[in-house]
Amino acid sequence: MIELVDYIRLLSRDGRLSTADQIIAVAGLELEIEDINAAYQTLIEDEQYADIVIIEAKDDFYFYSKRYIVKSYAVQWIGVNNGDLLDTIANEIRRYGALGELVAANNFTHPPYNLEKAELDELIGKFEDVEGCEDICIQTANDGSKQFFSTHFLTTTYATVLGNIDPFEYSA
Amino acid sequence: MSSKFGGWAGYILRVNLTTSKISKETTEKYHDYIGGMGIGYKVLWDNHVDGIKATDEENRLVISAGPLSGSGAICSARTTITSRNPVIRGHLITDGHFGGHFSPELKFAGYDAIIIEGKSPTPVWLKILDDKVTIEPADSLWGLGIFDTFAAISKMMGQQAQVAAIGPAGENLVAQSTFQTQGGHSAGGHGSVLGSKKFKGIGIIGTGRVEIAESTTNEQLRALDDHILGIIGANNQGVVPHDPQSWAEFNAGISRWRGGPGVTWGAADEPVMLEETPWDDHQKVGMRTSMAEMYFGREEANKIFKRPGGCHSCPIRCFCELKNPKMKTEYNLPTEYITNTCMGFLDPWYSMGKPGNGEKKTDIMTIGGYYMDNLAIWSAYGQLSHIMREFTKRSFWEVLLPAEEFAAINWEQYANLDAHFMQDYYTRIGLAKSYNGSNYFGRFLGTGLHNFINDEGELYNIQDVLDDVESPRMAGLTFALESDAEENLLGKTYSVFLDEGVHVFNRSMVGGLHHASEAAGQVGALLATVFNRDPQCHSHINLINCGLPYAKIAEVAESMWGENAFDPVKHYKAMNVAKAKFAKWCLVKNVLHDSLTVCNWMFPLLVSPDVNKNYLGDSSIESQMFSLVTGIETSEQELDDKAERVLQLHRALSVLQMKEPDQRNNHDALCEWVYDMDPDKIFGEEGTIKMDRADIQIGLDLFYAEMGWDNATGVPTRATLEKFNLGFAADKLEGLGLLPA
Repeated sequence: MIELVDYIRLLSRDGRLSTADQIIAVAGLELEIEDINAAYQTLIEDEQYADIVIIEAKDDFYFYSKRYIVKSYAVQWIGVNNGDLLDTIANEIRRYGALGELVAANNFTHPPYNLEKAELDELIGKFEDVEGCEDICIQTANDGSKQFFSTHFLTTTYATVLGNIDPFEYSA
Repeated sequence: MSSKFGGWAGYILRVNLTTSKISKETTEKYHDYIGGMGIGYKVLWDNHVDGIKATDEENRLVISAGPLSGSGAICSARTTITSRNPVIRGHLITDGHFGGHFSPELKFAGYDAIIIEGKSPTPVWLKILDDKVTIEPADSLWGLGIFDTFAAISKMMGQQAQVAAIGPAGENLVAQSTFQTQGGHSAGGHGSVLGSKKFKGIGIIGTGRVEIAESTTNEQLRALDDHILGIIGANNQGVVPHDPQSWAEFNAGISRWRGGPGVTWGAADEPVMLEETPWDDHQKVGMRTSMAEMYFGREEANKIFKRPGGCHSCPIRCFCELKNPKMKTEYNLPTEYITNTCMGFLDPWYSMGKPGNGEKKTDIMTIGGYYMDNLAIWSAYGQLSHIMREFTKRSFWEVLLPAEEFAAINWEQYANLDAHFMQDYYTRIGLAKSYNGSNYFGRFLGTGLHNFINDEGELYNIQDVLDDVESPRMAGLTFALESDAEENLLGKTYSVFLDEGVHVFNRSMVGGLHHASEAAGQVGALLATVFNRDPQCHSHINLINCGLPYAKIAEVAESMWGENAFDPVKHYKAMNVAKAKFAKWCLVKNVLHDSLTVCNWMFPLLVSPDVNKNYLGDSSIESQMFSLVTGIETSEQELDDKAERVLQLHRALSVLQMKEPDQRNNHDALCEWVYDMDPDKIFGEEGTIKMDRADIQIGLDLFYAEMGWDNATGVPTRATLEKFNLGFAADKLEGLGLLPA
């Protein structure tokens, strides 16, 4: 397992999570890990590897280094790479909403989503049709930017207020 | 070491321009006032003269550094300029501040402050080469723009000289003028004070150093630096990035942590494309802020941003060093480079009506910024530009100016967002009466709004005022825009106290809006009642604009000051004790920073980017730095108490200068628009920053109680003044009948 650490960190620096098998294959390592959870627990007993984090996805366990990746990003990465794009986005919107905030639609053009503008526009229309995502709303601010919010946490009127805050309206 | 303490250089220079006498006095008697602003206020108190104007010979101006400047303590290179200010009603005391490298050099030369007094018959400048201090003739400098002045003094002294100077605006006694140092750093309000003394500027070369207390080890200093670098964010203590990055739980549009993927320093000799800027990568702290994008938009910023700049011992680099080739090729300026931040770019932009991002905006901000700095004009935190924009929108100039003068101004350039307008616009302000032609326009904009309004904020005929007519006529302006109907103002006599767009916030002082009721509601509003100009306070901004989600910030605020200290943005609740405590804390920290002299655009570090610390910072950093540098072990509370002494002295001095025992009604009153805006909404509804008159009076009650000020008058009580060893101030005020019974 120790042999994987440098690769995990390297990929994490690039914003990517990876499975043990992926690294073994890419690095050409002669390594077989029978119980990945047990191997991981042994690894992090050594403090120098305590930055390595394991996270369970649908079909496998993924690794990342928390030196470079925060848990919320890892969760989103897993969601996107598992093909659960809408649910992942909805959960991200709710995560912000629970703390009283909107999410700029532009956020989803960044990793781990990397959506093109056209993809984003197409996706916006899909939320209405997905069961369980009725709370997800989109609004367009006065400056033309788009923002998401969850009605579980914000009213549509207050979302409009937040969406139109102009940092240059009063003081710089 | 010049004294038994580290930090302070040990001496203050007193330069009398009437007698040409230069003397040295010890700094030690000011140690209880920390330094910087504290020295300035104490000198002004000790030398108080009743009823003088800012430009009178008897007025003194203090340029001061704090004990941390030059020590290497992080973000400690601010310089404070303190004097009476002609832009303020009653020419009351204000302080301006600049960054750069000036105060460290002053300390290296052996001085904590310079007191300028008297008046020279001919232009002079002050040359400081360590202990060789001479008053030099400035005939060859008088009339030069700021950039040529810096170059000329540097040529005479050597390029290592740190220079601070006034420009043509100060020479021409334009009230809204600055005292500036190299790199776009300027302090507002006192250029004409120095101009009236025929004092062009100061050049300093200091070859000494700031001593650190003998009891302090390098390891302690390094450990503190590492601690600070582990909790510091970007400018205004933005602790999350503006755009998503893989190491960050949150991102926020308000955060000034702009550096990250997609940002390019495109005008660098070798363009630098930024990648992620993780919070714990100390090598990239200087990349975080990359603030050009905030002013110019990403596309333009990526073209013109050369690199970030800033002050001595600052890792944040909030200044934008820009290259706009059109400055030379299209606008015939001698340079294509400019460095500045904030109002240096925003004032021209506001003046021209806040156009959207693009080349026109870029030209306006860089060309305007150049002229504003070269003439050394002060915006009074945007008041200049807000008046310009609003009066143009309302077609007031046609009424206010002589017809020929109005016709001589190129309004077509203005309408076309043509940055060529900037040259004549700022030249008229900077040259005032010396402008070649009729110039009521520039003289009005540069003189300070309080001179032109009656008690209701209605404008006098500006020509009558500028022509010294004893009983000026009223200007006869009315609210006549369609949008005025929405505010229930249509047809009413125009008043700057009613017009939200002019951004006068403190009615009594005609002070500009600066992080007021739009920033933490009543907390920001109360901050704007205390100082005599805009409050220049960022203590609250460095928390509420840190970029963390609202709930996280509210949690921090509650732990500091109590429940409901911080309301949701534009959705305020009624005043409470927690908000009064929050406001007092902000002011005390603000005064602390301006006395130490550390940067209040970064400190206090109440939050951090470290998720492992649950985003908590450390508000005691300042006392840790102070203790290590000076060798005087001082707790956060003890240092805050020293800062509060300075704040209480400021209040006492304002009372003394105004000869006004009722500060509550005659100093701390806010403009009508603050309460009457958004007439379709009531205070407390979501979507408005409007305040409520009764609620603000409760706010003053609670705030005065926190400050130890008399509830009826807002004047510090004897008990409060004595608590802070200011019994001498209590005696003086009592003797004049200004102290509450």
